[in-house]
Amino acid sequence: MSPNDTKAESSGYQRVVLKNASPHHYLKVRLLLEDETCRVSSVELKSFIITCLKGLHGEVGAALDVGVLKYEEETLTALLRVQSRGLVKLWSSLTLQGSYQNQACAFRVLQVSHQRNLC
Amino acid sequence: MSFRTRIDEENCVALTPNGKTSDDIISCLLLCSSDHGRPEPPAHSFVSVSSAVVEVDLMDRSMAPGGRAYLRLLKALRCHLNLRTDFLISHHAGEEQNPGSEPLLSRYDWSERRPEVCRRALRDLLCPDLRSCDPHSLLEWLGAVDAGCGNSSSTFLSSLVCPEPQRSLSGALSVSLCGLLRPQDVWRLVEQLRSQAEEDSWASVTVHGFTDSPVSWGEEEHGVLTGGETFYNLLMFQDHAYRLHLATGPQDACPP
Repeated sequence: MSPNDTKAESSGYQRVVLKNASPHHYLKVRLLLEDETCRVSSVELKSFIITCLKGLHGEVGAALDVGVLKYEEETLTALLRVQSRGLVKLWSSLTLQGSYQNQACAFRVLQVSHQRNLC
Repeated sequence: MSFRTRIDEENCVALTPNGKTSDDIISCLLLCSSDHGRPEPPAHSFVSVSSAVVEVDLMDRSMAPGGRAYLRLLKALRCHLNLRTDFLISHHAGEEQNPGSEPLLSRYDWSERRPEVCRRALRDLLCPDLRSCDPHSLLEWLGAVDAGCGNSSSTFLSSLVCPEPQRSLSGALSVSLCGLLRPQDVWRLVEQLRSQAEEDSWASVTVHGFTDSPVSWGEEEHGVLTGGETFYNLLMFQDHAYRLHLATGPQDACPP
């Protein structure tokens, strides 16, 4: 899964290649709500994400370690961090979620990365 | 390079210093013009495509203005594609302007744009041991600091913490520049950072390619939404030791 190729030379130069070794993936997502004046706090967003995961993947999904690294309440845009093995579960849960507190909603996945350097 | 265009929705163009132009043409009718011994398609045949990448070597002898291939390309682009775009053209302030660009620019509206500079002073920053930290944890920490979520760990919101062993820095400076920067500009910045290094100090430079450019990583696209990453990070220490991190996606070639 994670073969590391290491090459050390007498000059002190060392080259390390890590393949498929990213422990986490990162998503930049935006929550779109029918009522654009509705405010969602970071804690409410995290709870909603867990609800989405539980709704589609049950207790296994709800147990995924998903972190909200950054959240802008004005634009409802968040940076999420998830274990790589849970990326598909998280992505599918967010994409298929259509309602939040009895109003239509949608998650837009703006960017996905396996290195923590979203633009 | 085309400006304010989205690579998956609009036509994007990039002209690199080696004379190659790359056009990412989206949702258009593309004339199948034979060239350089490729199979001849039926006369006047058009194919509907959702996306096509057209690469032209302008340094090729057949592409000299007035040449057969040049006129053919011009006709294909003008007659069958409505290509209109704003361009970003790099020009270094310290160099003389290319004399050939003056008459070109005089035919269009243009304005000089400078890189957007954003400075942030960081206080009481938790910092890992940069020399021994593993690459993923290090890049994750650098990215978190860059995004402004470095120390704000909350057990409910996120389990992200600064890697151990860690120490607290009383102050650090984060500067981001956004614009069309050439490799020479990055090199000059690195040289200045090296010359101004103080004792027990370090500097980290992370360079991203444009997200919506046909040439973001070498001559390849940025791998947005496919899990691909195209950036590099240079971490420099006061004793001239350095760590260079190159991050690529599964569809990108491994750096040499």
